[in-house]
Amino acid sequence: MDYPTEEEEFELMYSDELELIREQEEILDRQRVTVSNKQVGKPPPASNQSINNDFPTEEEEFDLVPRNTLKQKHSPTHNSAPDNGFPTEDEEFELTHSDDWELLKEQDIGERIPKSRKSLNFDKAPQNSATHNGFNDENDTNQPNNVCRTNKRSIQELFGDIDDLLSEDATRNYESVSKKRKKGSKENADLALIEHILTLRKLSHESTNPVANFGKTYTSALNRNSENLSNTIPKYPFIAVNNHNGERMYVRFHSEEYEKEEMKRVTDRKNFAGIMGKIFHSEEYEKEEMKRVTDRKNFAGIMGKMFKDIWREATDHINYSMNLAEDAQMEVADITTSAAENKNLWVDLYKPRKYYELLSDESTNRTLLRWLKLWDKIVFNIKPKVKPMKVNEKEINNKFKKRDLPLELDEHGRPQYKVALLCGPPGLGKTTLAHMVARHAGYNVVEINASDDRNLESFKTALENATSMRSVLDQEKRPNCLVFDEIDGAPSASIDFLIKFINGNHVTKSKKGKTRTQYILKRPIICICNDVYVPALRALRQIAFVVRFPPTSAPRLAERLSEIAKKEQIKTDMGAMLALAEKSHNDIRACLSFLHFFKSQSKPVTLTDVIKTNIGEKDVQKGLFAVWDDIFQIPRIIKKDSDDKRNFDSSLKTRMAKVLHTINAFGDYERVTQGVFENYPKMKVKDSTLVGTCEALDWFCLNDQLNKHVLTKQDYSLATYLPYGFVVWHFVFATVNWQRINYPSTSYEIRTRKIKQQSLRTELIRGMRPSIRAYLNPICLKMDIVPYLNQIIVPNLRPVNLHLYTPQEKEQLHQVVNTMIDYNLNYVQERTAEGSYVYNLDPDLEEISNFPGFKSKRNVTYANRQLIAREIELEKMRIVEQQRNGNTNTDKKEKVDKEKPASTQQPQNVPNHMKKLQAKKVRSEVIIKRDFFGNEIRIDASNSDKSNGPRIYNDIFYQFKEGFTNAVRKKIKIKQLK
Amino acid sequence: MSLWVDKYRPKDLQKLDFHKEQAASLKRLIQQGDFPHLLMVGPSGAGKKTRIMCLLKELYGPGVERLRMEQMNFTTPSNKKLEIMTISSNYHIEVNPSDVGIYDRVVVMDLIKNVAQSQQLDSKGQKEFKVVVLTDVDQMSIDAQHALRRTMEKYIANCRLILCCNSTSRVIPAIKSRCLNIKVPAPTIDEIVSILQNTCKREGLTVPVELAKRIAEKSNRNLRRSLLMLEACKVQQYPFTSNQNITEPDWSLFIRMLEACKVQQYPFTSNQNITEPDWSLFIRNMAKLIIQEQSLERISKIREDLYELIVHDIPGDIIFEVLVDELTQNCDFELKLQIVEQAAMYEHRMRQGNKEIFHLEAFIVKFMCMYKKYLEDALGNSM
Repeated sequence: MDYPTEEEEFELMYSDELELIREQEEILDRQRVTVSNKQVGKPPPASNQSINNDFPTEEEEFDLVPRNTLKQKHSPTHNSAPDNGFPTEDEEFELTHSDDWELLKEQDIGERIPKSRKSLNFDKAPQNSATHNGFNDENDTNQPNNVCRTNKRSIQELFGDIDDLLSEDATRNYESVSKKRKKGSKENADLALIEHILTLRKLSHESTNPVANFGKTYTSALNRNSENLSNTIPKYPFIAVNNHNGERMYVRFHSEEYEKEEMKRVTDRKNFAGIMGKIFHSEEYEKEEMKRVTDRKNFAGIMGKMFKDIWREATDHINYSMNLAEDAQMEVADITTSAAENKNLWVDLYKPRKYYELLSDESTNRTLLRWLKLWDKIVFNIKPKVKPMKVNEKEINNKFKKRDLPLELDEHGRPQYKVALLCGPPGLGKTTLAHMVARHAGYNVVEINASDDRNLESFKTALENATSMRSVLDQEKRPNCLVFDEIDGAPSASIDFLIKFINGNHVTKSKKGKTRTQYILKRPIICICNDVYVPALRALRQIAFVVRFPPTSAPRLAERLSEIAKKEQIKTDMGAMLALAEKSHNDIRACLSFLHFFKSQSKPVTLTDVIKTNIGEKDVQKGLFAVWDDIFQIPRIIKKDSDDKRNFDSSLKTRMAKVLHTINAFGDYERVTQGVFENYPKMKVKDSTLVGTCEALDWFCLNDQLNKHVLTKQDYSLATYLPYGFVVWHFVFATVNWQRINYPSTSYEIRTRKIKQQSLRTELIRGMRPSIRAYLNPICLKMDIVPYLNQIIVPNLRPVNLHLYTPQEKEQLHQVVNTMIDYNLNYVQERTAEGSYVYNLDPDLEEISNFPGFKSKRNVTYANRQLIAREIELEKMRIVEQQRNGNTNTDKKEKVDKEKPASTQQPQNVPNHMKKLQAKKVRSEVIIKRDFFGNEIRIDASNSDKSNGPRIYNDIFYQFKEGFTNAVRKKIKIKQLK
Repeated sequence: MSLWVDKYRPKDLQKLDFHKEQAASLKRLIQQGDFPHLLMVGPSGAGKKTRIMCLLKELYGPGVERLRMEQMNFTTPSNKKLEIMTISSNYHIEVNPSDVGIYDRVVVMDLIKNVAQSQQLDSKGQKEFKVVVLTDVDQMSIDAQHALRRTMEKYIANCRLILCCNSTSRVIPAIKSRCLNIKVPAPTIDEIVSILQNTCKREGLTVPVELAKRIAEKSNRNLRRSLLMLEACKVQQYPFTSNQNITEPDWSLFIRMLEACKVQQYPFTSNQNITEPDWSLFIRNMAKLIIQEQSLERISKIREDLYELIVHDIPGDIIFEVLVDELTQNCDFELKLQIVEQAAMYEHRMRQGNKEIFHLEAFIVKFMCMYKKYLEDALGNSM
């Protein structure tokens, strides 16, 4: 289809009215592929790829498609403002209207970025026309919608303001409301201004409606725009164009007449805008706008003689649209939706297209945007044009300093956080926000989500490609911005790699074996997850700028919903929408699906519908604490009916249903049970008779029994009854006031302590003498032996020298020592934090047997402990010696061995073995030693010097190394010492 | 071997101090040369283990006293590594399968079967069978007991089992019927008294009968505990107060000792303080707290104590026992009945459940509730 055929030309001539009818047909035929349409005819005067210039132009002024003209009028002036100066006014204004204006500016910047880049491409042509060309060139091929949107936006900026001032309409979009709020504070100060506003109000009272209508018709024009573009091959004459994603788009051809007419219509509006613009002459902002408007007016002025006609037509048009406003809007909406219904889910259809349309929390949006803006330096620094932007950035930075986001850039000019981590429950618009913001800041979004292959290799490739390359097809050459969606499901290896990549630690080896120099991440990365506490994300969380998503505010959501409902011609009210928002826990997606569902039923949505249907209800798994709150808190009854009793009844019922629902949705009964159990005594419940508590505890018992049965028998049919306990607990323990709930950590503590105790006991058992162990089982040990043992092994010894002990004392000591050996107890010297030494029992019997509040009645003194410890060592050594003797000389010594125990038993009964240890019956050679060491020992014992004690008998029994006594060095056996 | 409990433990069937008839019949049983599987049933501290060891000595001679401890390792089907301590001589092996908790079945299947399957090599020198002593059979899981019963029949030629438990109620009937049940009742008070006196005599001490009696009562006729109590009493040091009983029989000795070292409270006095184990005192304290106040705050305090008991691994049934004993002390008969009934119910439930703390606390709250009502009624009546 090279040229429009005659027929088509005819058709095109009757553009406007016919179009509506035709498009209805088109929708039906859209699926069909017209083969003949595949070939795109070259437009006669085509010099560029761009569509705009494809149309033959007669007059220089009309060289653009109307919509583009429109944009041309707006955007250049709008955009070039910061570039070319306005330096003082603009800046000043920005400073005064700090926060809100900033946003507008950021939008400007967002648009400016591609533009400035483009202007670089086109050698910075200062001429308007060139700029237009370039600009159109770029934007039309890429995102026609987007460009037009910005136009619309600027118009809305213009008129939105008056609207605000004139009629305090609550249904303004969020931004202008907030703007107004801030402005309001300034204006209040300025009395003259108020006066002016009042006059304004009077003046433009009548024009309010036309303005609104104008907005609407404009929307309709916009909507029509979507019909001039298509992804599939359309029926109408078209030209094929590739957009930045490499997707083919088909743009409609229009005849000249049609374009002229469109043009006319648009210029009407311009003039109207001009008129309106006159009204603003007080405020600085409005002055600025005035400038723009007058620009436009001048432009309109170029149209010369047509102006008057246009003016007349404009008034006509306004009147017409006033009359037909309602119908027109309906019509348009109808067309768009019916056109879209075939293809799109509502979620996509009503996706926010502009930044300010985002429903998510404003501060969250801004924080993310600001973070992204911090990248401007490294990403867009290449341009000389960046200069004014830099100033902006600094200014932004200054403002940010109040917030958490650190603004200092690192040595490479990157923000401190290289990655942003968006987290929040599903359906809040995280992905939408990421995409929106990235595009807004002038990036090309590269998304990797759970549907993509995310193993390490492909992840690596994707990451490297996205950060170090740029799309060739994309004519604007926007830099990439990586968006990792659903990163909480990614394999941890991939996340580790991401972290390394971000830190610049990874070294990639090329095939030739050269190691590349450290790669520095130069592109922003946005990660999106639902659960930020997934273990795999732990490391990422520390280096990422974590942006938490608060739930969307229900009224805003409801507002948007009713807007959509209106568009979709679903009859509903705000209350129903609010209820819907609440029901779905502010999940935008769920709400839209719900509406979509109701659309198909084609009947009005009422509040009861929303509440009663079980569609759209999300099975939300609440957090643990939320579940406990539900159990321990009586939900406040919002409406109090006069019929008190009935109300109470139903509330009990609903309370039960609510608790059951939460518990069932949560699932982890055991942990919740534990939480309830550990928290209930702290609840301030009035239950003086304790009957209710009794009941509740019975349910605990029942739950425990059921649980055990379920787990041991794997009989899950009984698990059905588990949640009912929670209902009982709710009724017994719930209070109206919120009460603090602690996480049930006690059972864990108890378990660890129990395990510690058990290990102590096993240690004790392990060391016991088999002959004793044989008679004991663990229960006996802990119940009987240990408590008494602890008391029995405490001898009453005076703090005097061993030699001075009475026989009784010696026997006692001996018994204690033997007992301790039997049960493998000993005193072990330990150093305390203060540096003093203590002897502790090992294994620690006191730990096993003692209960808090019970002080161990008697303590062994330090000296005694030391003494006992030494005696135990000696005794053990003797036992070892005995055994070795017995083992080495088996034949002959057996008899001796048999005697030996007898003989050793003898002194045990008459415990004077202490003397033997002092080596009383030693032979002559050892006598010297005895004297020497005897003195030593005595000193040691009396001084209770710990360091000497062990060394001494080591020396005696094993080796003697001091040089002078070489002559008497001789190996001796303990036996010989006796 | 210096704790009296260990030191004076009889090593021969003839030397047993009580149930002498039973000892004699056991001896006759052994002398026949063969015997069936045995199931020793009796409360703790009644001398089951002592009897078993005596029996083994009678069977195999003194070699059985050469005990060693061995660590055995197992792998469960789920690849969990387990280790269990066994005490064995050349002739027997003793193991407590319940040490490994729910994996006791693996122990039964692995270890016992292994022992049972291996035949004695040197059959002329010794008996042709080995003995496997299993303790705490009542703590074993049902699965393990089932695993045991076929082993018992199949390998009777190579091994005899001696099972040891506190109560047969948790032993499956199949096992009960395969064994010769030997009941070892707790010694009577008199028996304990005489044993205590004997022990003292061998130590060269004397003990007043009253004290011995009190000890026997306090120990719940648990011989082990009474001996330990006695020894603890001996070691225990008193502050020497003026009202100290000095009219005791051996007071002269006492004075001499006093002069000698001023430390020893050897001469037993009949009104001497008998130390109860800490846990028992602890539970009694808890009971007092419960009786003092009945409120939610008190419950949270009590709960801490309960947790403390659980940490120390005091079995729930014993907690119930001591608690009920203490709680019922100042109640009238009717309330007592109710309390005991409730305690029984909660203890039963505790056995069926998993978490002792729930049931213990439930019982305590139930008691509080009942006691409060009882007090209020009493007040109302008196008014």
